[in-house]
Amino acid sequence: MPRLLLMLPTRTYRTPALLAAAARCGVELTVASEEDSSVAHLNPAGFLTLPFSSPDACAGPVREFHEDYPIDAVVGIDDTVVEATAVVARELGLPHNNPAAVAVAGDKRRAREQLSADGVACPGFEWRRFEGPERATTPVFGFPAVVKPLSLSASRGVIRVDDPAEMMEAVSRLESIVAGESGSSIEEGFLVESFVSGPEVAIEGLLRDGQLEVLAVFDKPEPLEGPYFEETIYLTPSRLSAECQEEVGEMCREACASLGLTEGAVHAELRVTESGPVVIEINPRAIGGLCSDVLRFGTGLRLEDILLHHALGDRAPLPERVESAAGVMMLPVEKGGTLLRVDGVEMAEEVAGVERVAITAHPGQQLLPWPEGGPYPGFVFARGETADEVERALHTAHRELTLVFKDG
Amino acid sequence: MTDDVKISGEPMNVPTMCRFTVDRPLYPDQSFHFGSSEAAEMSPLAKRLFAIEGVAAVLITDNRLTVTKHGPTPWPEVGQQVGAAIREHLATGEPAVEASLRETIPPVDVLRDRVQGILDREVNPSVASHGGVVRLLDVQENMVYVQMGGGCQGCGMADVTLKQGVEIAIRSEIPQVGEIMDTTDHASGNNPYYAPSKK
Repeated sequence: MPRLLLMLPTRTYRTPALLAAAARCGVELTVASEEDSSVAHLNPAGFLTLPFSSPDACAGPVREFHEDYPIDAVVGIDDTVVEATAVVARELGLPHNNPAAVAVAGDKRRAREQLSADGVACPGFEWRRFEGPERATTPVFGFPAVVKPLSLSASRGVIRVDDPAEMMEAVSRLESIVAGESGSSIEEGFLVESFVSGPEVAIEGLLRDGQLEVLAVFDKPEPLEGPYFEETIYLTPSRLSAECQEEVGEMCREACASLGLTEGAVHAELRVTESGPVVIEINPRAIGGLCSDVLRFGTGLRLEDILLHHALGDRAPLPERVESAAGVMMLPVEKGGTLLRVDGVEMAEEVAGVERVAITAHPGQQLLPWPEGGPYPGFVFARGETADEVERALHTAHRELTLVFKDG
Repeated sequence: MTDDVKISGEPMNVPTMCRFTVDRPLYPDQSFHFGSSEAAEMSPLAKRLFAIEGVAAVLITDNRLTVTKHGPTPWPEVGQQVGAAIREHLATGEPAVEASLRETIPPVDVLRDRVQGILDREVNPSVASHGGVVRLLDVQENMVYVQMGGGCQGCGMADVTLKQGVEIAIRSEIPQVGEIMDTTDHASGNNPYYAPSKK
């Protein structure tokens, strides 16, 4: 039975989905995390501790482990482990992304520079330091613009600015967010990008030997005009024309080629403008949070099944996404505070088309609205005949839900 | 006559599991869990089910079967084979589980003591170092019900701790144990790993 090494950061949402997929694949499993497991002594082949934040340092421990327990595949699909996963896969001679390419993709400044140099359509941008007089000057491309941290995800810290005064305020706010975030530093600076107007879509894809296969195109039907860009609804199939979806996929392929990404999951976000798609983000990881649960392929396979089979060397044609429409809503945080409870879950689950409501925040947890943001308190999943029907179900379910905070 | 046996399949929340309900008793008023084909030697019904590719575990309860499968074969295909195996079994008139099998299982009190001993000796001292605890709630037949508390409740890695650690420790010492069920309400835990970390 092949052995799969799952790279699971302790804070991931994905553990149950990945463990279930590993069980379906019928593999021996080793779970690597950045913290020691308290039960590692019970199953030495089942656990490994790796310093995910120092990817190159992961190679040695994995090599030693591999001598005792040979590893046949490695999967890591969270943004905090994708570089370490690439290093480990390279060390073991398994299909992998070039770790340097993954590092570039994970740094918004270097990714923008690379994409721009290769002529891939992306927003105009300037890199700024938080220190110094130029930090809040008007960008050469003018307003509206967007200030953006280099390494945070889920649109945290991303703020639209329409004039110099908003720019000053937004940069100060972003500086506080970055300064308070573990693993980030204000030394990194930040980006100022031109604001790209138009509907936003997300692509979930799989790279196999350098070829990108588009698994799903998601519409984001809520207008993402700012000033903050909290994610809400993802809907698939997209309501864009087939031709437009093809253009979006092609732009995503160009972006992957530009960054040198060749293997594994890809999650991309693009804006559709009158002059064609524009790449906003491209990441060598799978869709975040619990959102992958919205996808089903073939006879019911999950995204995690597809990714694990790929890592195990399966190169059979990929199954089609199931035809019904599906969507997920990341529950927005309209006001922050200490969460007491979430009311209305049962009512929300009664809404026609709603598959389930997953509350991932816990009582006592501090929730912040965007742009400080995070985490999403939960997710609503729905299915239906059409994307319109699914979108209505998600909104109806959301109206049933109330986040109750300690301070009222 | 087994042609008129009616069997319905019901997918469960866990995608690897499906429950089949038969219109007549298979193992009247009793239940037994088989976690491997080796463990199923004394169950004519479970042996037939383990012959189906991908079947990894079988729980026989009165007129219901809960089947766990691994591998890519889709449930509709596996379900057809499960239905055929059930009909084939009923046609033989054999018992679903041989009566002597129950004699190999330690009495519930003994099983409970042994599982509790493993938790006390091998699991909880180390889990406590992470602020957690694994409690034994109950043992019924050969099924074990546990609950994770303290730092384990709601922890993003609780599944890993249970499946990769606790289950393996229990099964290696007591192979007769069937299903190990986590009854924890992780949603109300107060120490989830996936809370964001701040400086």
